[in-house]
Parts: sequence; structure tokens; C-alpha cells
Amino acid sequence: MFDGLDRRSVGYGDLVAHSVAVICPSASALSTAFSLHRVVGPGAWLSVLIGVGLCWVLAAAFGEFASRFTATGSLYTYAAKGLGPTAGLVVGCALLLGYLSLVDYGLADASNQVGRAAVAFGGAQPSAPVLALLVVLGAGVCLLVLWRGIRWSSRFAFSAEAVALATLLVVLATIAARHGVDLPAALSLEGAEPGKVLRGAAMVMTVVIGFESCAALAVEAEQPFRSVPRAMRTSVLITGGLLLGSTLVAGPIADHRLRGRWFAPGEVVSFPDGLVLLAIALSYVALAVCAWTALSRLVFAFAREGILPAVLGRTGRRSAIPGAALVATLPVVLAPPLVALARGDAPGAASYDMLVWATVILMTAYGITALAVVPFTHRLGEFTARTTTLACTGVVGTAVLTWVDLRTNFAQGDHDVLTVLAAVAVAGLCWRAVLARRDAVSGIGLHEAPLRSEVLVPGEPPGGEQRG
Amino acid sequence: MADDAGFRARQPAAVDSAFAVLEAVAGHGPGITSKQLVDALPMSKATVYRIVKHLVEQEYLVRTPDLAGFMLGRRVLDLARGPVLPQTVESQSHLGAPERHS
Repeated sequence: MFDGLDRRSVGYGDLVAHSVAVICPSASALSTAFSLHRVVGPGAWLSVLIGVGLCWVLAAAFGEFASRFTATGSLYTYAAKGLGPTAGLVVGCALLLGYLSLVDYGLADASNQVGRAAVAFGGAQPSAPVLALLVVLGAGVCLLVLWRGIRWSSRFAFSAEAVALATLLVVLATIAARHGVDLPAALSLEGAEPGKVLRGAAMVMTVVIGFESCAALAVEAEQPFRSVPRAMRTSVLITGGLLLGSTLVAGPIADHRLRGRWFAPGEVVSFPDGLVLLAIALSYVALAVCAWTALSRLVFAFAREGILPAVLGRTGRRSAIPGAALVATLPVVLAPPLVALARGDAPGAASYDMLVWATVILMTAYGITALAVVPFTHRLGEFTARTTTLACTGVVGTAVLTWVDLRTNFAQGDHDVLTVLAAVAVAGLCWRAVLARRDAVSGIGLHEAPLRSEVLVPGEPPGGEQRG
Repeated sequence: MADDAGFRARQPAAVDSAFAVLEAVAGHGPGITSKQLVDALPMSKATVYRIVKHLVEQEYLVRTPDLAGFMLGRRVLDLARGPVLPQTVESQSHLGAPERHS
């Protein structure tokens, strides 16, 4: 089914790094954690716990699928297995848009951070064409890294995240040493408003979006039934720890607007802040690499299932990656920054809008997939109280936080997200109708069957690489 | 080396239960389901599910293509194979060195 990929080659640490890279916590911890105090006020830490806690529940719910089969389609395959092809295709369309937005956002913000670093080093702010050129260069770097194969790209993500997280810890330690950490004040709930705490939790959830992306590497992971579910949960916990730490450290300086100057607030030129901005840029490149990896595996799954042209399911003989899917998505990845360049806009503007829509759409996809756990485990006769609790908490929690996030968008006059949400649902339904006419629905949501060499068949010597 | 997280408490009982599940799968043959395991073994449903999940994660059990049943995995085969013996050791010979009696 998924022949041609580099099977059993990605270790647990690299899987965690893959999901952490897509979440990009170093950038979030230096921005969202600080702005959380302004949005929520007292109880910001509670928002972090609720948002991260819900994502952990969702990761555990998705683990019910990941511990039972491997596929490169991640949530698309999970939703199809539990709720059928229509739900699978709607979630598949949501993931396509979501991962594409994350790649664009990673590339655009990497270029923005390099521009800000140039200013911090004493240079001039790069013009929009230069920033757009940086986006194209960033895409080239991503392709080079990806083309070396999954072992190389996952190592790159691991190294980039190690640098970014170490930088984050240095920044937080510096801020804590300068301003102190007033834990009783930071943990006080006096004056906390439930509505604001929930709004903060929705903000946190939008930050942790992407934790499931390592599931796209299930076929390439070592011990996938063990490592993929654990990697999803661990990436959420790492992000939660960092966000909580940043929120507590940010308390005393919640009213300051740092604007990329953590070491020298208010200064234009600051060498150490320039280095921090470059580390953040590196983590955004890692985000683009890993989101592009997940996007290409999703397209690859569609092609192998026969619902997209078979050519997109081709893999490189040496690289063992879905190269055709990677190349096919390149124009879509480059279009937003190039369109922005043609219009004279900053390349990040369009990507940011797409990201805002994508987070709501991905949250909806998470809710649908959590719901799919119930019929899936019931069908296997492995339905337990734990799976019901996970699924119900995931569905209800996601519905509440998605609604809170939508309301925030509406309050800011942004109703486009509803249009995009409807467009994704319609795209999934239309795709289903087209496939039904071609009699191709049966191929939706397939997983990899075990190899004969992986099982002990009575009366038969252990075989080669044929499917069991 | 396998992680022992699943065997922290009451280790001997957990090992016994894991072997009981493996023996049930071996005895029934490929395709035995969780429900059949629950019926066949003197364990609670939750215990059987937990052990089966752990054995699948460790690849001692493999799910059938329809995901509902189980087969023995390659790690059981690896156990059965054991290390390759030196060629000088005859298959019929004893493994221990002969004791000297003086």
C-alpha cells in the first residue's frame, strides 16, 4: 500500500521533534504566552492548562487509532475508519488546507524574522520583494532538506528545535533573573473571568495545533504502534511546559510590549535579540519542513488510495520520499507569497489570514476525528469507558473552544472563516460525489497490512517483504 | 531493550498474564479477536485490552488486516530462533561444558 517509503527509519525522538517543530513552541512561548496576560488577565495559567489539557486528551484519542494501524493519511484515515468516507474526505480537505497554511506561515514568518533580525543587527528593514525572495529561498532550502530523505529531514527538525528551545530557555532565564517570578501573584485567580479564561484556552489550542502531524510518519517510524501515540502526547506536554513556564515568567512584564527585544527592550539595535530572532527563523523553517512532510504524505495517501492521480503516489528510489507529491504542492506553497509580492503586500499578510482560518478548520477536524474513536473501537469490539471518556471530552471541549475562537473572530469583524469552513465541507462532499460516480469510494481510508516477515504464520517459513 | 512501563506493578502476575495471552493466540491461530480472548482467559476485559495493546506496541502480536483479530508477531519468532549457535556445537549435543570429576 505505502511501498517505496523508508520504513522503520524514524526514531521516537525525531517523531517528537517533528510534531514539536509544527507546533513551533519557541515562537509561541515568546509571543502568545506574553499576550495571554493582556487577553485573559488573572488566570492566564489556567487557560494554558485547559488548552493544553484538551490537546492532550485529543492526542490520547488519536492514539487509539495510531496504536492499531499505520497509514500516512493521519487524521483523514482515522476519520474515514470511524465515520466513513464522507467524514474522511471532509477531514482530508481540512488537513490539506491546514498543512498548506502551516507551510506558508512557516516560510513567510521565517522571512519576517530574518528581516527583523537584520534590523536588530543594525541593518535596514528589507523591502517586500526581498522578503518574498527570502520566502522562495526558504522553500528551496526546505526542498533540499526534504529531498535528502526522511532520516535527514527529521534530524534537521530535531536539531533546529534543540537550538530554538535552548534559545527560548536562555531568554526566559534572563527575563526571570531581571524581573523575578512572583508565583503567588502569577497563580492567583482573584478577579479571573471564566469567559476570558476560555478565550485564553482557545488561543492556547490554536498554538498547539499540529501536534498530530507526526502520525503522517507512521509507516516510516520505528515501533509505530508505540512511538506515534507517545510522540503526539509528549509533544503536547513539552509545549504545555514551555507555555506554562513562559506565562509565569511573563507575569511581571505583562504590560510591556517587547516587540522582539527581550534582552534590550526599547532598543532598535541589539545583537543578542538578533540572534534570538534568527533562532526563531530557524524554527519556522523546521515548521515548514515538517508541515510539508505531513502535507506530502497526505497527498501520497490520496494517490495510493486511487482518489488522486497515481503519479502523485510515486516515491524516489534513492530518497524514498513521495517526491511527486512534494513537487506537486510546490506551486500552491509559493503562490501566496508571490501573489502578495505582485500586489505589493508583505508576504506574511496572506499567510497569516490563511493560518487563522486553518486553525479553526483544523480544530473542527480534531473534533470530528475524536468522535470517530467511538464507532471505530466499537466495531473492533474494543470499546471501553476510557475511549468513551476521551472521545466525549475531546468532542465537547473542541466544540466549546472552537466556538469561543469563532466568536473572537466575529467580534473582530472577520466572518470569512465561516465561509472557508463551509467551503471545506462542500469540497469534501463534492469529492465524495465525484468518487462515488467513479466507484472509487472503497479505497478511502486504507491502512498498511502487516508484512509476512512481521508475523508468525503456522506451517509457513518466515517470508520476505510480501504483504500478510 | 523493551520499556518496562507496563509491568511496574505486580510484575510476576503481569508477565503471567502476557504469556497467557500469547499462548491463547498461539493456541487459537491467527485471527482470534479481543472478545474471544476475554472469553477464553480468566482476566477482566480491561486487563486483556491493556495487555493486548502493550503486546501489539511491542510487536509480539500483530493485528490481522481487518484490525479485529491478532496473530503472533515476529518478535515471538525471534524468541523462538534465539541466538545462532556456533557451528562447532552439534545440534544434538548438550549446551553445558562437561563437568570434571576428579
